[in-house]
Amino acid sequence: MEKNILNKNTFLLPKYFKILGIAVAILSFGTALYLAKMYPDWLPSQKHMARNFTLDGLIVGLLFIAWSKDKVEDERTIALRLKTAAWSFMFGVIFVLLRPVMAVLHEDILENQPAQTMLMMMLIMFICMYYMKKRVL
Amino acid sequence: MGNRAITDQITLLPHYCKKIGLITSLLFGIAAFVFKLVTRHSAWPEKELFLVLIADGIILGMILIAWSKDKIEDELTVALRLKSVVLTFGYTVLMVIINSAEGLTDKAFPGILDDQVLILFMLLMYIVMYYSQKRRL
Repeated sequence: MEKNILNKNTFLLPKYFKILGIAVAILSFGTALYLAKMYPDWLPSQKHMARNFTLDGLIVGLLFIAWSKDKVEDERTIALRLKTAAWSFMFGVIFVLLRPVMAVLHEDILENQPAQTMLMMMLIMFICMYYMKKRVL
Repeated sequence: MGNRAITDQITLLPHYCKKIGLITSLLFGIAAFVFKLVTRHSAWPEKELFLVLIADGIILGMILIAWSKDKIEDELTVALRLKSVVLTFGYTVLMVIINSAEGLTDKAFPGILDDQVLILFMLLMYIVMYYSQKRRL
């Protein structure tokens, strides 16, 4: 009964999205490297556009990896997912809270990070923590 | 670990943290409103830093609301929490992609999202989704 409630309500993506996510992430990362190496003299606007596209691709790939089902999905993996998601949220919050403090301490200009970078860091943190903790189980 | 109930495997903040979070968010929200009104026409150099600190206070309150225990915490609330987190990440990725695409097409709109706005949006979305789904039960 418990397993049914948990599996019905979690809204995770099907298992094959993990492979799709890995492919999308590698493809985006490879494209970014290729473009940086092959076209170093692009205009700043072109570079900005290429950076945005490849970063978006990487984020989508990471999202697919993070939220696709495992082979065996039970209450332990669900608890682990929620715990890890809470930690990645906490990481984001601590990062945002500490930034102005560091800026004041170092008498630095308060510069905001782009949302893409933050979201990517949170997703990477989620994936790393989830798979590391799962290995310990 | 397998024998423990799913609710015991997840560490959430005590129930009273919800009230502390609500009060903190409200106080900082009011402070933001008053501060905006008072410094509307002034060119105070520290204005930006103060606004960032006020937003940090709202974020702190919201994380307390989001990750504190409910009165009754069972497998259904765990499933709802996970569903809300999954959907929050999904919608945020969509928003970040739309934001970066708008920044490319409209030169006057370079994309307003930074890390602080992103965290605020994610926390707000999580809280709204979790409590709206819980009310529907």
